[in-house]
Amino acid sequence: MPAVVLTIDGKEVQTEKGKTVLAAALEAGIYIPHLCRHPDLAPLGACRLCLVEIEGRPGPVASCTTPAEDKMVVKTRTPQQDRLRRLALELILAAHPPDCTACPKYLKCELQSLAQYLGITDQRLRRRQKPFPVNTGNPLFVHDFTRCILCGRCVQACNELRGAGVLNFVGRGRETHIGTAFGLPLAEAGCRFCGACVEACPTGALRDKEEALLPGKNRQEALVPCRSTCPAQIDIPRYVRYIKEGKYPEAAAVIREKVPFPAVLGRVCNHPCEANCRRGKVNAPVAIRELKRFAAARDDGRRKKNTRKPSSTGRRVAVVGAGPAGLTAAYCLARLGHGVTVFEALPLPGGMLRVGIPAYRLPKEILDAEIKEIEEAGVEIKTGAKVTSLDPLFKEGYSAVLVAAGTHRGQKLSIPGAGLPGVLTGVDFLRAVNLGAKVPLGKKVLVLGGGNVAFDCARVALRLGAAEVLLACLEPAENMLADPEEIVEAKEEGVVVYPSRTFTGIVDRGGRPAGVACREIRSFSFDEEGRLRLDVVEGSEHILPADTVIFATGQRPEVPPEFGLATGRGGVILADPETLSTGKEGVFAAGDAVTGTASVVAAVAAGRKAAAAIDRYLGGDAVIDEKLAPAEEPSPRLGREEGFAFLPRRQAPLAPAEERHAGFAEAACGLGEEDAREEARRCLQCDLRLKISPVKFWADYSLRK
Amino acid sequence: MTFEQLKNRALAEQDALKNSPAPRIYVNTAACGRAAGALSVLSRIRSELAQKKIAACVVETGCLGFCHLDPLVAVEKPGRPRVFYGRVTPDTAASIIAGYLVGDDPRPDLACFTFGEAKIDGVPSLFELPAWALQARVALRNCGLIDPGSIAGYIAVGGYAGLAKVLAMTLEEAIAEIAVSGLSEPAGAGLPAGEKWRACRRAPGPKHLVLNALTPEDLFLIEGDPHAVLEGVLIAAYACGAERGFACVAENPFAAAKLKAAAKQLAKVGLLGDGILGSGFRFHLEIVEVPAALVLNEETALWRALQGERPMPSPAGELPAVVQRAETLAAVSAVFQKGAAWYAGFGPKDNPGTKVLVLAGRVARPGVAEFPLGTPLGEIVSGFGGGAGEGRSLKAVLAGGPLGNWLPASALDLPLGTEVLPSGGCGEITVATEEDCLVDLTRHILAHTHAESCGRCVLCREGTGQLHEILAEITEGKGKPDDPDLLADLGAGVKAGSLCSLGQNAPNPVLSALAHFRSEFEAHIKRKRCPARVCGKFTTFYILLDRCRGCPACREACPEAAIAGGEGLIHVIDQEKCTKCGLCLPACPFGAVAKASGLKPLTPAAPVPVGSWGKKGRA
Repeated sequence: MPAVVLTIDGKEVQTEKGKTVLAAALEAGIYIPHLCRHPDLAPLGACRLCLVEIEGRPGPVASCTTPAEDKMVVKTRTPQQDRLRRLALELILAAHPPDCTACPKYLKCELQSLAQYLGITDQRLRRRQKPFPVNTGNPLFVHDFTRCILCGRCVQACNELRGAGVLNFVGRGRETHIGTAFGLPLAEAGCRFCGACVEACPTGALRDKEEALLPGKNRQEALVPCRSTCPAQIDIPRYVRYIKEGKYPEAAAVIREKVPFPAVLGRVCNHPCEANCRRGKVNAPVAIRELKRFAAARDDGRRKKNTRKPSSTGRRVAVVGAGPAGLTAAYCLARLGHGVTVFEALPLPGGMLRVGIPAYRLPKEILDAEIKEIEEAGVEIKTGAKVTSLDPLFKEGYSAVLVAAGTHRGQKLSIPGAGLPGVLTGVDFLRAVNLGAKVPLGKKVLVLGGGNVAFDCARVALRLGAAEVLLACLEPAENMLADPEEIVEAKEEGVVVYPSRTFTGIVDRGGRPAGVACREIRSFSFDEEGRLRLDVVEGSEHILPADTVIFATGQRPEVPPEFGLATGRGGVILADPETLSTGKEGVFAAGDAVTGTASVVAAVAAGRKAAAAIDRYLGGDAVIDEKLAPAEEPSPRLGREEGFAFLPRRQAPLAPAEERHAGFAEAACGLGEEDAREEARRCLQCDLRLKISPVKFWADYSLRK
Repeated sequence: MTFEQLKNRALAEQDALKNSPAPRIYVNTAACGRAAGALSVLSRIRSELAQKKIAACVVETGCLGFCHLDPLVAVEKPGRPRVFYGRVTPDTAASIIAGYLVGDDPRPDLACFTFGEAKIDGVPSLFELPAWALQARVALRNCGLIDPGSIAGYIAVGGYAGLAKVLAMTLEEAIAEIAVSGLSEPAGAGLPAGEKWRACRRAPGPKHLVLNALTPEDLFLIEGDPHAVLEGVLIAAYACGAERGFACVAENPFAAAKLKAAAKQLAKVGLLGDGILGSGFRFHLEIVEVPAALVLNEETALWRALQGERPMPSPAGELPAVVQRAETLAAVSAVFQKGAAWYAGFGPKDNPGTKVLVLAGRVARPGVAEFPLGTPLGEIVSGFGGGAGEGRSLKAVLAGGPLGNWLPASALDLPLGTEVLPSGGCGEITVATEEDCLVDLTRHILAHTHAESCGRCVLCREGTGQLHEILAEITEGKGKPDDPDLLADLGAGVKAGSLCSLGQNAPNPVLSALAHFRSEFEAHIKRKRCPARVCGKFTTFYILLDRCRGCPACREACPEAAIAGGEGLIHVIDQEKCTKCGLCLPACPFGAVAKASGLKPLTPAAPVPVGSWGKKGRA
C-alpha cells in the first residue's frame, strides 16, 4: 500500500491510500465526531457530524466519505464546523426522546456520548416525538423507533453486510423511518434474526429482548447461548455451518476438538444447547444433537493428521472408572503426552454409557468405536480391575489419580417391602440387562421414578416381554424430569404413566410384591434442610398392581472408604469445583461421583476439566483443546431468504412403536443428508454477530493521545 | 439505410405534403393544450371537416409555449403563412373553418399571429412579437411547430443531421466539438458537457447514457419534440462510448408515450439498436417511468433508482454513466446540426448558452420559453410574461422553482445565469404580487421540499422539517421573536452542510425571503399581522358598510352560515363562525366584502338597514 501523508489540524498524518480522512484522523488519535459511520460498513455521509474543511475545496466535506490524498490540508475544528456539527446534533436530538435515564441503552449510547462531547444541553429547536410505539411483537428483538435517529447503520448491516434485505428506509421527509417492506413482522419480511442490525444501532432503537439473553452471562456468552450452555464448550455454530456447507468431516472435527464422544453425544446428549437455542424463540430450536450424530457418522478420520502428537512427558496417570468422565480425561491426558491407565471394575469399558443406557438408544458398536479411538490415542484400559485402594497406585508409579467412579449404586426408598425379592433398583436392572444377564421379570412391571433412568427401565422391561409396564412418579405430568421425547416415545410404546404419586409401601403377597400403595399429591417442595414436603390428597390411597417393582429414584457413588476421600451428602466425593482436587495429594475426582447423577455431556466436560487440572498438577500448561478443523473465516453474508423464519425443524425418523417394542435395535435413524443440511440451514449463526467490530466512543480515542 | 437516403425520403414525404392542395390544421394537444380543452376543439374540427367534406390534414403538435393562448390552433393553406388562433373554443374553431377553409377569410379578428414568410393583413408575424423576439429557441426550436409524432417531420427540419455528423467524427473530435459550444448543465452554472463526457469515457467498465426528464420544462420538450432529445441522446452516447442507456421520464402518460413512440420509429429506421446508420455504433435505450421526485435530480440517487434501490444520493465515487437533462440533450442535437460556434454565440461570451424557463404565478402571460443567458430577468417577466398584470404590483419572483431564491422587484435587472438560477437548473420562474404572503408561500414550498427529502442526511431531513415547522408556527400566530434569526441560522447550516444539492438548496426560499422581506416575517411575529392578508390567523373578513346594498349574494356563498343579514340590510360576518375561506369575497357584486389584518374594523353587531349606519355614524 502506498503511503499518503496529509496534514490534519497542523499534525502530519501518514495513512494508506484508499483510507478516508476520518479513518486517517482516528488512527492518528485525532477525534472527529461521527455517528453514522461504523467500522464494518461503507460510509454514508448521513449524520454530517464529521464535516471538515479541506484546503482548496469549497464548503465543508464529510470526512467519512472523502479519501485521504497526499498533501491534503485538513482542519477539523473551525468555528464554522463546530456550528454545523452542533446544529446536526441539535437536529437529531430535537427528534429523539430526552429520557436518557429511562433508556436501556443509557451509558452505552453513542448519541448520548456525542451530546456530552459537544456539550449540547439547551434546545432552541422545535421538539418532536416520533409516533412509533415500542414493538415487542418480534422474536428476539425490540424495535423502539421513537429512539431511531435514522443513521442508516442497521439498513446497511442488513443489506450490505448480510445481504438479507429486510430493513430499509421507508417514507420521505419527516415520515422517513426504518422498517420492513409493507411493515411486515420481521419473520414474514424474511429476517434471518442474525442481530447485525441491533449490533449496528448506536442508540436504543434496536435492542435485544432482555428475556432472549441468557441471564448472568457476559455478552459473548449471552449472544451465542448454544455454545455457552454446552458443558463441553463445543463450537456449535461452527460445526452446524460446516454441515450447511456440506463439509461433514470438518464438522466432525470441530466436535472432536472438544469431546472424544461425538457419536455417543449425538444420540444421548441432553442438549442444553437446544433448550437455549435462539432459533427456538423464532419457531423451533435447531436439532443440534441430531446434527452432531449426522456429522459424527461422516467423520472420515482426516482430522487425525491434525491431532497433537506429543512427546511423552514420562508421567503416568491412573484413572478409576471407564465412564464418560474417566475416558475423556484419559484421552485428553494421553494427547498431552502423559501415560494413562484406566481401571474399570466392570468387564467392559464405558461406564453408564455401557451399562446404564439401553442399546436401542446407544448401540454398543457406536460406543465400542469411540472407545477404540481413545485406546488408539495411547490410553490403556484395564477392565475387571476394581480399585480398592489408591495408595498402591502411587506406589506403582502413577503421579496422579483421577477418581471417576460414577454413581452405580441404586437407591431404594425406605418404604415397607423395599427389600422383597422382585423389588429391584434401576441401575442394577439396566446393568444386568446391558451386560447380557437374564433378569427374571414378572408380567406387570412398575417403575417408580420420573427421570430418564426410570423411562429406560420401563422401556427395557417392555422389550424384555413384560405384558404391562407402569411408571409412577412424584412430579406432575407437565414437569417430569425425563426428556419430553423419552416420555412421548415410552407412552407410544405402551408405558402407562402415573404422575403426582407418593409411595407408602410395597404390597407383600407371600414374599413377592403384588403392587405399590400410592397416594396422590397436589404438590411437593423441599424445606430448608432439604427435606421433602408433600401436599397429599386426602383419601387418595390406591394400589398400583405389579409383580416386579423397579426403583429408579436416585443413585449414589460407591467410593470405598479405603480411598480415604471425604464424601458429602449422597455419598459424593468432595472436590474443589475449580481444580477438582480432593483433599488428598495427587488425587482428583470428576463426573457423577462428584456431582451426583448428571448428564453424559456434563461428565465429558468434567473429564476435560480434570485432565486440564491434572496436567497443570503435573507441570503442564493445561491446554487441552486441539485444532482439528481448518480455521475458516465464515462469510458475513447470509443472503435473502423469504420464509427463513418458518423453516420447520427437521425430525429424525423414528421406527414405529411396534417395531421399537420388539427389540433393542436403535430406534432413531438419524437425519438423512438432505434433512441435515436443511436443518443446519435453519441456524441463525448467532456467532457472526460477535465478528462485528465494536464501536469506539470519543473517550476511547482521547485515551490514546 | 444511409442518412442521405433517410433524409431524401423524409424530404420527399414532407414536400408531397407541402405541395398538396389540402390545407393543414395544427392543434396543440400537449398537456397544457389538453388542460385548456384542446381535445374538444380537435374533435369539433374533425367533425366540421367531415361534415363540410373538406380534405385537410390535421396535425397534433406540441406546445409553442404561449400557455395563455391555449387551446392554440393554426391553419396553413398552400402558399400562405401559418395563421395561429388563440383560446379557440369548438365554436370559434367552426367559424375559422367556415371563414378560412370554406371561404378564404383568414379571420384576422380571431388570429393572433402568423408563421411564415408571407404576411396577412391585420395579423402580426410571430417573429415581430416581443415575446418571441426575446427568445433564443435552441432546445425548443421545433416545439409547437412540427408534428412530434413524425420522424420525417423532424428530419425535414434538419433532424438527425447532427447524428450523421458525429458518426463521422472520432470520439475525441465529438467531445472537442461540444466543449467548443460551451454547453453545460445546468446552463451556465454546471459542469460543461464536454468534461462530463470525457470523464465518463475514461472511467473503466461499460458506460451508460441516462436521460433525465423530470422537470416541467423537460416534459414540455419531450411532448413537443422528442426526436430532438433522442438525437442528443444518441450523440452523447456515441461521444462517451455508451452502448446502453435509460430514458427516465416522470410518470406522465403523455410524455412517456411520445418518447416511446419516437424510440420505436428510430428503431424501425435503424437509428437505434445495432449498427446505427450503417456504422459500428450501437445503442440500446430503455425507457423508464419514474416519479418526479426532487431527489432524482441527484445523479447518484437516480442511478440507484435505476438499479432498483431506494433513491438516495450516495457519496461514493464516479458513476458508470453520464446523466443529462432533456433540455441539454435537445441543445446537443442543435449544436451538432448547426455547429458549436453557432451555439456559443448565444448569451455572454464567457458564459454562453440558453435556458428554458417556465413562467408562472401571478403573471399576465404564463408560458414556456427559451432565452439566451444574460437576458435580464425583468425583461423576461415583462417582455414575455407581460408583468404582474393590470392593477397588480409585482412584489417578488421565485427563480428556480422550490429550490430557488425569492428576488425582490428591485433585483429584476439581474441577468439570467447562476445568480438567478442557483438551484440545479430548474427553470421555474414564479411571480408573486402584493396579494401574496411570502411567509405563507415559503411555508408551502418548504412543506413540499421537506416531503421530498430522501431522509438520508440529518441536516436536510430534520433541518427542512424544522424550517417548515417554524414557518408554519409563524403563519399560525405562534412565532417567537427569535424565529427569524433561528430560521437564518438553521437555513445557513442546512445549506452549508447538507449531503446533496436538494438539501443545499432547500433553504434558499427561506433565506432569500428573510433577506429581502424580513419585515413581513416580523409583522407576523410581533404585530400579529399578515400584510398580504393571506394568513387566516391574522385576517378578518368584513363587509364595508357603505358598499353593501343588502343583497343575499355573500350570505348564499358562505358555506358556514357565518353571514347574517336580509333584504335591504347591511350584512354582518360573525367572526366566530368565519373560517376565512374567502368565498364571499368574489361573490359580492358590489365589492363590499373586504379583508383586514392587524386591525378590527368597526362593524355593527347585527344587521342594520342599508344607509342607516352611515348616517348615524356621521351624526
